[in-house]
Amino acid sequence: MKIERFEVGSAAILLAALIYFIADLDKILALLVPVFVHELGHILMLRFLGLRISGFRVELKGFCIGYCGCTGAVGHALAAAAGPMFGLIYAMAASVLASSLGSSWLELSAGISLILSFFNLLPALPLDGGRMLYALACPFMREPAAGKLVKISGLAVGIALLALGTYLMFNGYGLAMELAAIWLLAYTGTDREGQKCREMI
Amino acid sequence: MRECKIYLASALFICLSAVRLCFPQLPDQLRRQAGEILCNGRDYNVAVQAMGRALAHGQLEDQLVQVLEYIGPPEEQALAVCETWASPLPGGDAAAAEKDASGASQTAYSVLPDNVCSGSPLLPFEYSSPASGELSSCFGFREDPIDAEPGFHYGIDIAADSGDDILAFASGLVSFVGTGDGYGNYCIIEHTGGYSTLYAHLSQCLVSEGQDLEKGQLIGYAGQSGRATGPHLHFELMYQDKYINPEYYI
Repeated sequence: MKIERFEVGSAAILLAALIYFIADLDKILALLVPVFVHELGHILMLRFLGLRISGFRVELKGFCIGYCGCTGAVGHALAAAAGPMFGLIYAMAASVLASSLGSSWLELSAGISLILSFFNLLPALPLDGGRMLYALACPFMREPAAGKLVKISGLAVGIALLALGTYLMFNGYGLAMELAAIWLLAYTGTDREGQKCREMI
Repeated sequence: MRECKIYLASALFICLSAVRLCFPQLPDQLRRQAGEILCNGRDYNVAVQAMGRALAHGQLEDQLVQVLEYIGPPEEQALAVCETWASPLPGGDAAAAEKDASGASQTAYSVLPDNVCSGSPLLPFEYSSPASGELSSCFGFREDPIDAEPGFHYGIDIAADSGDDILAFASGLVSFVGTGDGYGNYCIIEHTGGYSTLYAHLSQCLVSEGQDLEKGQLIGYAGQSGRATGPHLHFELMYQDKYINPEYYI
């Protein structure tokens, strides 16, 4: 499915409504700023590589940037890596700034950015790590094989997270990790567009 | 069909926003329930924040263990926050610093006393502000307003007029009612989970020891009994034998 301009899925709106209803505004902002920096990283890198951005979609799956144009495997991997890279830079900057300004909001935002970046580096589609793995595997094997590799790696990551989530749940740490694992498992197999390296979270 | 769904979802978004504006307490209850389900009442914010803080100091691996302690159940969490931030502060021994506080008071300002916790743990009960006035003196090091000696202020002062209502911070059991030289008329309420609160300089205390209180119940009237320069409420929050800064909870 080609992404044109800016699209929003209805499920994403529902989730946003729920989060907006429940969470504090400053907590939401502490999450939105790292997300924005992350996507900005992708966009800037795509521009830098000379690729055309066709649109932007917000889904339950995450944020997808549609782009077209040709670049090598390294280019695709770089475009995927730019998000977490920017996220880590932002986390570092926010943390340094927080310690000099004494702002707890910046500390929280830095922590969120750090977690977001590392989670995105997991080698599972639709996360950036999965896209990087796929892009870098493509030159070494044929495309269906690379697709299979990413699928298996995604499944492995998903199951590992599920196990961790179950462990945490039974030890009284709540459902948070389990939900993240279920989210990943629900989308890791179905991401067809991702295999064409056309979108990214 | 697709547009229909989006309009419906957007309409719901607007409705929820309106509900939030009209009933600000409703999200609070839901937030607590969501926190209960997602995090089992543990405060992940504190952990995430600690991660963000550790990043700048370049000791993420060392701090990760401590960070995990932060996500303990509320009681353990309070202890972890206390231990992490009260004792291993840079600048040496708190006792040593206090000894030369008379000579060089500057050093004392960088070290917290042992019985103070600089974190703000998630309280395992509902609470509300004990008085409605402005904060007139914060928790922490300050010059004593009467004899100008440097010292640690183990609570906060809330400005009040004599006779203003003082309300219970949270439900609990009155464990002490009495009079002291510094505190004047004061009382202590024990809450669940090892927390207690102290209300000082009251003109009159209406409760008696052993009495059960609801959150927000009238416990006395503000005054300037004891060591005070004007009518105010001196309010302390304790976890077991450590003082916590109550500023974040009122």
